[in-house]
Amino acid sequence: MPKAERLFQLILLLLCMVYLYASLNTALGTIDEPGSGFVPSLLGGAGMAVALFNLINSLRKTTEGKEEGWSRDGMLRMGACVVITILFIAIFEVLGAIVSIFAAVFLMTKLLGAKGWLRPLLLATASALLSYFVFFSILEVPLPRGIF
Amino acid sequence: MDVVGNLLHGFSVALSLNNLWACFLGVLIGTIIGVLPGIGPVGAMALLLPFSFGMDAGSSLILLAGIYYGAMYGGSTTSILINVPGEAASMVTCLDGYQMAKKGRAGAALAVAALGSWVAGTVGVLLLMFFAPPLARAALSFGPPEYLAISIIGMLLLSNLSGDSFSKSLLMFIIGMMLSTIGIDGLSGYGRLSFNLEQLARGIDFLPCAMGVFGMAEVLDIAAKPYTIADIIKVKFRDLYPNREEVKKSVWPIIRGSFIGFPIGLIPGPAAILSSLISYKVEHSLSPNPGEFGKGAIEGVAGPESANNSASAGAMVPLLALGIPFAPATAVLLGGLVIHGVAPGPTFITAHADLFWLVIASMYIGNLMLLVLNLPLVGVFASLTKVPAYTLIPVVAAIMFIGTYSLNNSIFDIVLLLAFGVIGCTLKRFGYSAAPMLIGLILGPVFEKGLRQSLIMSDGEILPIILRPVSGTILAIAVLIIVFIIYSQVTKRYKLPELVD
Repeated sequence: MPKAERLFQLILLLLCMVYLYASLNTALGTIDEPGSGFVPSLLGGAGMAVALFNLINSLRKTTEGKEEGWSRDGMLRMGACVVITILFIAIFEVLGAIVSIFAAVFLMTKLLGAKGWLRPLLLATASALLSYFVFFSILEVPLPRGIF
Repeated sequence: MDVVGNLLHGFSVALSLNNLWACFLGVLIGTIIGVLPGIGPVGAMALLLPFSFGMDAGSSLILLAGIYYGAMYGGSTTSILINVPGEAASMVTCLDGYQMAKKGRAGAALAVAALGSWVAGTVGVLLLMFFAPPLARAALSFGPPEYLAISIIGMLLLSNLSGDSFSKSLLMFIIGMMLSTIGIDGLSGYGRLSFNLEQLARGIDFLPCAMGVFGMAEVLDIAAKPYTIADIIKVKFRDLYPNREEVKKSVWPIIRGSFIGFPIGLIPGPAAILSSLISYKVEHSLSPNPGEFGKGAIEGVAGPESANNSASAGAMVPLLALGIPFAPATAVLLGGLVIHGVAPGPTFITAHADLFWLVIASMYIGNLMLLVLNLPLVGVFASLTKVPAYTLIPVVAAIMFIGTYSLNNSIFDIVLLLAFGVIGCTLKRFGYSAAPMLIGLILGPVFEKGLRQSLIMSDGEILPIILRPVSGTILAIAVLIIVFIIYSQVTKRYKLPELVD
């Protein structure tokens, strides 16, 4: 845990550094007429200082932290959930809302441990049709129709 | 007389069929969300925002406010019946509520929680009604230095009260502010920090971020650690009456909780959970039998449940009077208002008096609806916790995807949803709270505009900003807070978790 935490603190510090670098390249202006980069530079500097403080604090931790993380299986399920969402984003405008919702719900239901095929199929079909009806027909959101 | 007249007018509009329906739907959905694991009130409000597209601004605000305080109440049901808080603020209710349920007094605990929430909600609305208009009138004279000072004190208080570590919360707040600077600069009109990405040039919207860190993050977290379905203690309708002694013991905790919660709601930070903790601590210290706490003391249910409902009314004051939300839930309400073309701020109560009084009236009605809805249907709501993760989570995720898309009809918003879901999940893993980041995202433009305009007004001098009475006072309080934080860090005496102990 402390190793992972240190890595996370380091990533936050790097992000603040990138942000500060980018904001220093925008118009800073002067103290009596601050430009669009003035506040971002202040924030970048402050963020970097606090992130560095947190990193040093985590480096000073000598005892092993309490482990309350995810299991290996859990992380795989979470990763799969992210992949399903990416898949949804990729097919949403191509295949349309109904197909994408059906696919996402079906895959997630199976991923989270639903047994058999009937329940996931029914849930996916109902979710796809109901959400399309509510958002497209009632709320008039222009959802992509895709192959339909 | 103005107040009474305005309120009566508010009631006449709130009692229209459309508004009653929005109110009923809001408190019903709120209660369900409060009961269900996996999605909290903020995620739910953000998620259901698209459902308000077809409504007018008034009905939309009634719906969202109903979800907010409905969820506050719904959380107590699962705390009492299965020892699992539906949302964070109900954590304290578990301590004595579940113990009461184990002794066969679940009905009494639920009834007292419902009555306490109703009384506190009503007291909170009354206080909101009397505090918000004068504050808004005072805020009309606020200039950039005052808004700058408010955003600074907001940052300090929020960082000090959210989570265990001040520096971690402060970093999250700063990162939220950094995110707010991406896209078009509101003052000069120039684009900035978009890293040549066309989608980032229009800035980062609050709502996909809120849905991401409060909704999608929960979906991912449950995917990693699916919840188990607990056994529910059954409650019969005839058991829903506290006995004479329980009523007697609950009266003062409810009254105290109502008045403790409201001012805590006014300050930035996790007001609901903080008010519950403080109320619990107060009741514990005032009780003639403190040893009963943790073993089923009804005061430990009545006080905290009242306090968190009153705090949710208090949290509406800075939103409606200043246009500044200090909590993620009220920030979503702000998003809802902006979608309908209404900008809250000091002029909101005068320019949209009808809307303000409509919301106040609907909150009275909503609190009554909660009471009527929750007592007889408690068994039905509790049984919702039996919905398995593999049914609930995919459906929530699907609504979230489509809801996010419908905000701007943009696929990029779903990308943001996913990104902030992963960020929210990771932050939780490493003990960071996402709430300061979201509030930073909202307060960022207030801070930037306040600072830049103040510096232009004062020709780059700091002294004129400090010497203004309101901004000077607020900044002096901010300095005191910093001194207090440094002192407590040095002496290590100040620890929020002590309150829980």
